[in-house]
Amino acid sequence: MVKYIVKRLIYMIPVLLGVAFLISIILYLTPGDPASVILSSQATDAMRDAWRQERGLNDPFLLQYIHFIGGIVLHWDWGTSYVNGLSVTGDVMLRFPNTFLLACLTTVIAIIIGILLGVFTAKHQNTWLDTTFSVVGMIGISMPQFWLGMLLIIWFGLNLQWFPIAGFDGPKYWVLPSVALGVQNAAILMRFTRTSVLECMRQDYVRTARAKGQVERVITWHHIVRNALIPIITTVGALFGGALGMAMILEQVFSINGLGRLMVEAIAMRNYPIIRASVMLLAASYSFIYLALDLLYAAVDPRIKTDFENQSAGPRRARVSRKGAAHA
Amino acid sequence: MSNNILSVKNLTVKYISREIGVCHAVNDVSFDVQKGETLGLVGETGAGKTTIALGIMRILQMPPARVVSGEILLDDEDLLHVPDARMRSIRGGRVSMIFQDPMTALNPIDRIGGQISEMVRLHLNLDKAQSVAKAMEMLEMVGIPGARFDDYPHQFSGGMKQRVIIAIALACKPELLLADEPTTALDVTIQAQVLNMMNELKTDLGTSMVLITHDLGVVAETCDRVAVIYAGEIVEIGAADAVFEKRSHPYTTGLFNSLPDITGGRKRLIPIAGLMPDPTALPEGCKFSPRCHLADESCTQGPVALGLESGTHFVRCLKASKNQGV
Amino acid sequence: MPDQTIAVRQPDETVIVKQRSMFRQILARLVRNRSAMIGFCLLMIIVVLCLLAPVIAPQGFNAQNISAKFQPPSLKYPCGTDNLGRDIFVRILYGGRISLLIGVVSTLFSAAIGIVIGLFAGYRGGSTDNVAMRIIDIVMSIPAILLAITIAAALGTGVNSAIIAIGIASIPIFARLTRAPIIQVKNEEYIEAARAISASQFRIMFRHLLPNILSPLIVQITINVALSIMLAAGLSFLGMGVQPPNPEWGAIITSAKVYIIDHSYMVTMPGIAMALTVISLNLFGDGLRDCLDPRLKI
Repeated sequence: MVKYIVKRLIYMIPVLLGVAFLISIILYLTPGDPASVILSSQATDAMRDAWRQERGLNDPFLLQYIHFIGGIVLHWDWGTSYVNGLSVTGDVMLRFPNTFLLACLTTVIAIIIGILLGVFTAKHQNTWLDTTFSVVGMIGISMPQFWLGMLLIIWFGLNLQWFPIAGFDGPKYWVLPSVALGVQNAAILMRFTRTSVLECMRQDYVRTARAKGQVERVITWHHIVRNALIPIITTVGALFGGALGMAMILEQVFSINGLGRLMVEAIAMRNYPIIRASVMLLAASYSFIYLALDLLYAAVDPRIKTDFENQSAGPRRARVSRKGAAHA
Repeated sequence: MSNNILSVKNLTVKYISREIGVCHAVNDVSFDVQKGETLGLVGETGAGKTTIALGIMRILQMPPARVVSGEILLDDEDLLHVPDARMRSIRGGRVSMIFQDPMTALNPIDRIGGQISEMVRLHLNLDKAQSVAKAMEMLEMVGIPGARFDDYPHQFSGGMKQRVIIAIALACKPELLLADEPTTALDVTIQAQVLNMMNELKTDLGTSMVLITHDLGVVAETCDRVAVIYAGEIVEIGAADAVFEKRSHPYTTGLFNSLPDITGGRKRLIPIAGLMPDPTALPEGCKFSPRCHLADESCTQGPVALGLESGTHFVRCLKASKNQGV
Repeated sequence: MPDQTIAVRQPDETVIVKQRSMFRQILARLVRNRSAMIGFCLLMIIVVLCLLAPVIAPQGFNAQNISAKFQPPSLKYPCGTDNLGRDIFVRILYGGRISLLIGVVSTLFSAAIGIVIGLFAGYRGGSTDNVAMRIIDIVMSIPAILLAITIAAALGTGVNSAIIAIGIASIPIFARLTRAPIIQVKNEEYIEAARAISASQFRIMFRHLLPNILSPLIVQITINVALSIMLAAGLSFLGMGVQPPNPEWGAIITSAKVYIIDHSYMVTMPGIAMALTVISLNLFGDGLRDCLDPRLKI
């Protein structure tokens, strides 16, 4: 097991190098000169050129990339913000917790609501309750999150005035954004859980448990749901990744000082070091969450654990799309 | 008090669904199982054998299944009408079942030992340590070393899984064991082992058994009495010796003729012509008549009743006496 | 089974007839599938309304009527009017043409590239597979919206760059969805048989492998159109992608956001249009899945 974890951690290095390469090349190809955006309009061409020279922007692409990676590896230097001249780690780490918290809250909401409703609807398959919740779930999946966020602002923020509509300073502030972001994921998880539970309900071992004279409650939660949740674990990872990305938009709706707003500002200012560092951080946290979920997967399913001990290092990803909801 | 542990009377089960319509799975089936006896239910796949067993356990998937009529008496108590809680204590405690496919019948994420002790704790009034000890005892009784108590099902072979399932089924010393094709999914060599073991355990524990199979060899080896099922009906029932010797129903004859004869008397197997009728549209009269070489108009006129052949041997055939010796 | 009899009688056309009959079977199932039909009808209504926009509202989506600004929804203005007195319903109709276009074109773009990558990676295996999948891993460790944002920033604003940005972000899904079943299918006998008669690699991939793994891809294409529409709206909302006054749905919502306190209908109406479109696509995709792959049906 330890060997597997180490293998996965090592595998993360080329992936993150690849992410750095990808984002660097996108930024390199991005038109628009940071110097002309950031320096005042009075600056001469020579001043701009000197500014670019200082930041290595005149170097060929590969040199820039090696510089960037070298800085991280040798000095843990993620770059210096073009705007305020400070190390980007300060800015990024100041904003990251909000984004991460929002994604976590969203995922927790989705897990609780989605799994409970999924089990409930599966147990009541083909009744009016099942139909009602699948309609609700379909609506939930189909609402764009930022639009739902605005609806929540209108209803619960402006009309009812139950919750603040801007900022992220405490539990009261967390409610609307995480609900706006969580509804869709909850609906996706509900559909998933329902399918998975129905699948498990038909399994022979459930009949065995019933033949043992086991009570229905234990059959449902111990035998059916525990088995049904195994494939859900990877789905949760995909949803978390999606939430991390979508949080960027929701931060805009609810004026939350998160990584997303920082990046949108940085894109407008062509503040490349901030963009690079943020993307890297998001990709890294995404990879770590995936690793954690894969380990959880192995912990829950003894069959996978045996597999893992002699397996290639590629992460397992949910085939979310097959069931119709690839949002990651 | 009769000598019967189980007495199934006029059991009729249908599967009703929108797509398929009404499927007549079990039609007016009656049989008894005496204490300590083994009754074989023989028939082709789809004849309704498993439905009978699941019906006795009351674990048919309802819907689509529906028990239309009948009584299932376990020591004169009608299982179809006892309250759920009482049924749960009977299930596993007094009547237990072994399923056909050992590969899927165990929960893949629970340890073997836990799955046996789950049964023990449900029915025997033991504390945790005692039930673990009991489960361990059962495991060793079916010939699996106790060291494998904490292993998971995927670490076991098919034969060993079936042993575990037998251990679960027998853990609470049931009065009646329903074994649904317990050896079909196993290799031939393992089949004999498992069958012998079941026989020994059954004798040791004094359990009665209903053995469901399509394998006449298995029946010959283990059963005291046999009921031949065709299209959801018992077509012949009686002491195993009598049925095997007389083969009164043409269908029984056909089953035997389609077996290879080890003494080498016959060169070719004689298959039964045709297929089992579609259970959503059963033929009028004798259900076997469309495939029967003896059938004439009288066979399709109306329902054929079970007729006494001799002693306790009954046959559902108008031509029964003509069929002998074919 | 009349279809099979035809197939037997005309051995030369067996393949074609069989395909047509399979298609017909699926179509028959589709027509009986409630969710697919509701989705399809809803989608058709939306598509037809959007296509007929120039007929319904020949004045165009930018026709202003300052005297009638901020009109709440009424019979005359079903979705109200905006700050410049433009009919929001008309803007939604014209915007639908853009949103649907982005959804469909970006999906076809990513499906085409993703499927080809998945086919090659899965069929060739070995280092081709390794390299392709490692690249896919890299792309997938960046959240789709984030990737789309950075690409859109690089490409500049506008419909075309939104299409490309969103299209690239969806490639990995199609590649993975193609590769996984290919790996299972490629060693089956009928592929061996094709190899045995030395069919070319391309022929095996596109003629023999692809048709057998098409079902989940078709479903994903349907659903991906919905996802792309939402992603495009998200991009507009962040100020990338399509910009106002272009009436792409996300752009309408974005430009209405400042009026949310007093004129909330300006935000809700275009959102409802978008949600309805996405619902119709998802319903249709759900039904399609049930019909194409009955094994998955519960």
